[in-house]
Amino acid sequence: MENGEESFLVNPEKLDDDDEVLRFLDSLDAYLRLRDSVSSMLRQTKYCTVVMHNTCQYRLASDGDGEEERGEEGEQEEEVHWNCALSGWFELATARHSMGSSRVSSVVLDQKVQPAATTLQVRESVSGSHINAWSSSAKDGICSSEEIELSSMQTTVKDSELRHRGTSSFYDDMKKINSTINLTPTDSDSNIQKERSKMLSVFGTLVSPKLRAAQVSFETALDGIVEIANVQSTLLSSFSRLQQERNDSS
Amino acid sequence: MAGSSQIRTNSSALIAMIADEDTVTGFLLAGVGNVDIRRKTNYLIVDSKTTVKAIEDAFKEFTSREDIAVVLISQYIANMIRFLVDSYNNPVPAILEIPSKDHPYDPAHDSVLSRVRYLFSAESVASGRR
Repeated sequence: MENGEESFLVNPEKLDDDDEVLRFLDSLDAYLRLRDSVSSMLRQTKYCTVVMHNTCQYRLASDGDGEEERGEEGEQEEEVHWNCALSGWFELATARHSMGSSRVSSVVLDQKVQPAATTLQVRESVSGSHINAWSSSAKDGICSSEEIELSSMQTTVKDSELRHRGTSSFYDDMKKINSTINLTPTDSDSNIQKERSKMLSVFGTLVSPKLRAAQVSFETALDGIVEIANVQSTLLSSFSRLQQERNDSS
Repeated sequence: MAGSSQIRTNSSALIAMIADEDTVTGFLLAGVGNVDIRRKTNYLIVDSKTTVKAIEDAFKEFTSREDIAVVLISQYIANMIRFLVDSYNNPVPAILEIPSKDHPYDPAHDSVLSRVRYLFSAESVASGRR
């Protein structure tokens, strides 16, 4: 009977091990999903076709279901058919085509002393380090604007939750951003707008709308990257704890 | 964490980049570029003329700076200094391998995933559960 009673007792050490394993698996899952999201944001993933004009032919066709459209050299009109959200690199390439490669290149990057407009805040947490992204005003040195809380991984796993699926706010934000990426960001804070304009001014007074769209895309990708960094920190700390437990038990 | 180093708290840490021109330009548009009074930047633009030694030096410099929290490195560049990236164990700055426009992200080469992959091998699971 004592053995039967013992079988119903929960081994707290086993619970901790299982919690650690679950935390590790959850963070690994979140890491892989975030990786895929950020890669999609930076790089075109669905099929789209662009035909450029004037003196050059530029054809980009993705796989999708294998459809391709051929372009001809010297076409007079620009036709852009998108079946997916614009990616940062592609927008940058489009901006380079319309503005000229000499205007959108690393040569124009300002070498004057200037602090970064976007910085990070690092603090220590239970699961390792935690990073928040701040957008600061370079002129007055005051950290203003919004604090972007990106990490959604819980540091403790409750007994009732067998597995925590990090419902990242990044995904919800991505949906909103993807739906508004072609619109003027009218809801942005004025400070953020000033910083954006300052960054864009490096490339000249009049910049292509595609360059503005590329800026938004890379900002969004940056949010995802910060979240990946947090998840990676959680993943590595769980991994090292598991490894240590494994070494101790062997 | 085994061999854990003290995590530096920093309220205005930077993001460093070792990537191709388009990637660096894009993230500079997002406002991560920093040029200090010594004209040192927090990014290295890698092109066909960049040597592996220069990439190694930049990686070592960025990972040793206290004002950097995240180092973004294109995966194809990380593959050039794979031994250095894989041997890096500190939590901060975090090393993130990102795809480039010409080289998609390959999970098989990711240093973080390659470290944890062995946990999922049948042998390690079986030995752990004995």
